Amino acid sequence: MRILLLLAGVTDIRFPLHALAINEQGLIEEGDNARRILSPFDEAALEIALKLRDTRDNVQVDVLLLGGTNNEALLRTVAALRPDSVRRLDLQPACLWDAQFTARQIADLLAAEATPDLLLIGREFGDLDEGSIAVMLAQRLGYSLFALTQHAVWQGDTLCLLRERGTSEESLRVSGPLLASVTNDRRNKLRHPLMKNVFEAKRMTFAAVTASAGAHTGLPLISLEAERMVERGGTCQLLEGGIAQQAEALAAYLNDQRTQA
Amino acid sequence: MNTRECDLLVIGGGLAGFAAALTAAEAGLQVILLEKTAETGGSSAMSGGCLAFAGTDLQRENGIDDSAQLLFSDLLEVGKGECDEALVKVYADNQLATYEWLCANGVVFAPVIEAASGQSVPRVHSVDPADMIRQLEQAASQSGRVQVFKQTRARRLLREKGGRVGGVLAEQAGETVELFARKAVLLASGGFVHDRELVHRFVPHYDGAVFIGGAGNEGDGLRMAWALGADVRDTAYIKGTFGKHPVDETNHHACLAVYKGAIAVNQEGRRFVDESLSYKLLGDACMQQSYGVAYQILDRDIMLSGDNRVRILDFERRLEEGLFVEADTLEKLAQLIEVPEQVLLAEVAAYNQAVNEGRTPDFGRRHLVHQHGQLRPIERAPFYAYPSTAAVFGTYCGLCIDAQMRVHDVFGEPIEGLLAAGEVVGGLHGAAYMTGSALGKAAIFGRIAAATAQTL
Repeated sequence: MRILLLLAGVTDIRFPLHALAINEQGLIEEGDNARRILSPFDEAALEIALKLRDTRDNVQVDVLLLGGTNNEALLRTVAALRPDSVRRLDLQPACLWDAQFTARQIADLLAAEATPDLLLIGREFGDLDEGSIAVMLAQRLGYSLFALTQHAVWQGDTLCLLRERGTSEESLRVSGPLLASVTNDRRNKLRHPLMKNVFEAKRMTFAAVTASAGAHTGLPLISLEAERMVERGGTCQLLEGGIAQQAEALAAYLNDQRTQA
Repeated sequence: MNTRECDLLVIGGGLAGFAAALTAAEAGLQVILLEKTAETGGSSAMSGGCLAFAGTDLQRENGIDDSAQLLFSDLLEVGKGECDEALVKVYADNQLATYEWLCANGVVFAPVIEAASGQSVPRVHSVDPADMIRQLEQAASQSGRVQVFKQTRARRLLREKGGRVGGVLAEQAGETVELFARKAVLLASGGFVHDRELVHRFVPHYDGAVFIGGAGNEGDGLRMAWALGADVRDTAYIKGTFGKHPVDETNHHACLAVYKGAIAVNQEGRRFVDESLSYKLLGDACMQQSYGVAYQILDRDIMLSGDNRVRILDFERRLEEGLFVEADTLEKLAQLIEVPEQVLLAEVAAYNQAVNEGRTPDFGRRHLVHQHGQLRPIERAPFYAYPSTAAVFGTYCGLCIDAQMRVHDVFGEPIEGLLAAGEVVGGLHGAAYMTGSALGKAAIFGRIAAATAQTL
C-alpha cells in the first residue's frame, strides 16, 4: 500500500508573528523570520501513516510538504521520522486562500504520478479551517473522501479508518483509493524522532516538485491585515482557607453569578 | 547616580539567595537582593525539587535509618575524593537544621522519600521547587528587612581602598546604580549553563548536550569574582544528568528508570555502564555513545514501580505523554528504536541471567542505585524504552570558598567582604553528584553565608 501525506505546516505562535504583505502580483509575501511547525493535524496524519507502516512490511509512506518559509527545517523535522520519501511541494503560484485553485494544482500534479492508495491530509491543510482543499481535492482526483479521520487500524489485511460522530464511532473499510482528512486524537499523537534519525536528517537534501496550473484566475486577494489583538479581561480571586472554606466561597461566588445573570 | 545601602547585598534570587536573605533578615540585618531577570526562582525553581537531607522526621516516618555521618560519607564517596571535605562537613552538620528551618518557613515536603543517585539509603526530600522559593520570598518580604530588585543586573564588584568588597555596580532600567553593603556582598547568582562558550572552554565534549537552567545563568558572579582574582575549582567535572529525553521540549526533568531496575543500552543495543552510578557519571558515559544517546530499557514491573510523587521517577506521566516507546516484545521494541534486535535480546538475556543467578552483571552493577535496592530481571511484557541523553542542569563547579562561604583568591586568601553560595561555588560535589545535594547546598550554604555576614 502506498500512503501519500500532504503536509502544510502552520505558523508557530509561540513566537511573535512575522510580517505579511500582498505583492504586486496579488500573492502573499512572508518575512524571512517566519517560523512554521507541523500543525496538530499534520502530526496526526503523519502518525497514522507511520503506525500503519509499523505493523506491515508492504506499506510505503511518502510525504509532500508544502514549500514556504523555513521549509528546510520543517523538511528535516519530518525526515527525522523516517517516511520513505519527503519532497517539497511548491505551488506555482501559491494561492491557498483559493481552495478550488489549490486543489486543481495539486490534483494535476498527482495525476502525473503513481496513484497513492491512501491520501492523508491534515484537516486544515493550508491553514484553512473549513478544510475545503481536502474536499475539492478528493473530488478532482475522483477519490472517495473520509473526513475528520481520527484513527486507523489493520483488520487482517483490510485497513479501517475510524472517526467519532456524536456519541458513536464510525468505522470505514478502505476498499479503493481514498482521501482521508485527519483530525487529532489521543491515539494519533505524533511520536518523537530518534536522535540517530535527527542527526541523519540534518545531512539530507530534499527534492522538490512544482504544482502549477497556469496563472491564477480565481479569487483575487485584495487585502491582508494583521488580526486584531484580543483584549483579555476578567478578575481573578484566590480562594483561601481550608478545602471546606474554599468550596463554600466558590459556591457563594457561583450563586452570586447566577443571581446576576 | 542612584545609590543604595544595606547590610548584606545578595546577587541572585534563587534558593541560595533567598535562604541567605531570609536568614540575615531573621538576625536583624537589612538586605537588598538583586535579581537579573523579571522573575525570581532561577534554576532552583526549574529543578526537580529534590533535597538531600538525613535524619529527618520524614525519613523516620518512612522507616529509614539515616544520619549526618552516613550522608557525609556518601557525599565523599560519590565525589570520588575530589570534594572539599570541609565543605562536605559543613553540609552534613547543617543540613538537618536547614530542613527544619525550611519546614518552619512553610516549605512543604512530599510524604514519600525515594533513593536516587549517590544515596546509600532513601533521602530524596521532594518539594515543589518554585513554591519553595515563593515561600521563602514571601517570608523575606514579610520580615520588612528584605528589598528585592528584579531586572537589576550586577555588573562589577566594587572594592574599597583597603581591598574589601563593599558593593556592586548594577544596571537597573537602563540606569547605573551603586549598591553598598556594610557587611558583605553574597554571590548567589547561579552557574553558567547559558554561556555555551564558557561551558565549551571546560568540557568541549558536552557541546551536543541539552542545557537547561535559569535564564539568568550566564556566569555573571563567576566573572565578577574572577576579576578580583578569585580561584575556581571542579571545572573539569561539569556533567550532564542522564535521563533527559533528547527531543522532548515539554519535560525538563530527567527520568531515571535505571534507578528502579532498567538497563541502559546505546544505539548499537549494548549496555555500556553500571546503571546504579550517579546520574552525572551516567550522563558522562552517555555522551561517549553514538549520537550522545542511550535507551533505558524496562518491563512492565519496573514501569509500575515508578512513583508519580517524585518527578525523576514519574514514569506514568511520561508514558501518557508518549515519551516511552512501548512494544509487546523486545524484538519489536528493538525495531522501533532501531537497535539491532539480536544484540538487544542477547544483552537483556545476559543481564537477566546474571540477576536470576545472583551474579553481578557486566560493568559491576550490584544495586538499583548506589548501594540501595536489589536488581530485578527485565522479562514481563510490555517492554519500554526511554530515549535519554545528558542534560546540563547546572555547572556544579565554581568559586573556591571556605567553610564560612568566604570566596578565596588564587593565593588561597579570603577576599574580604565577598561571600558566595549555591551553584556559583565549587568544592562540594567533586567528581560526581548526589541527587538533592545541589538544592540542599543552595539552602544550607545560603544560610551559612548569612550567618557569616552577621559576624563581619
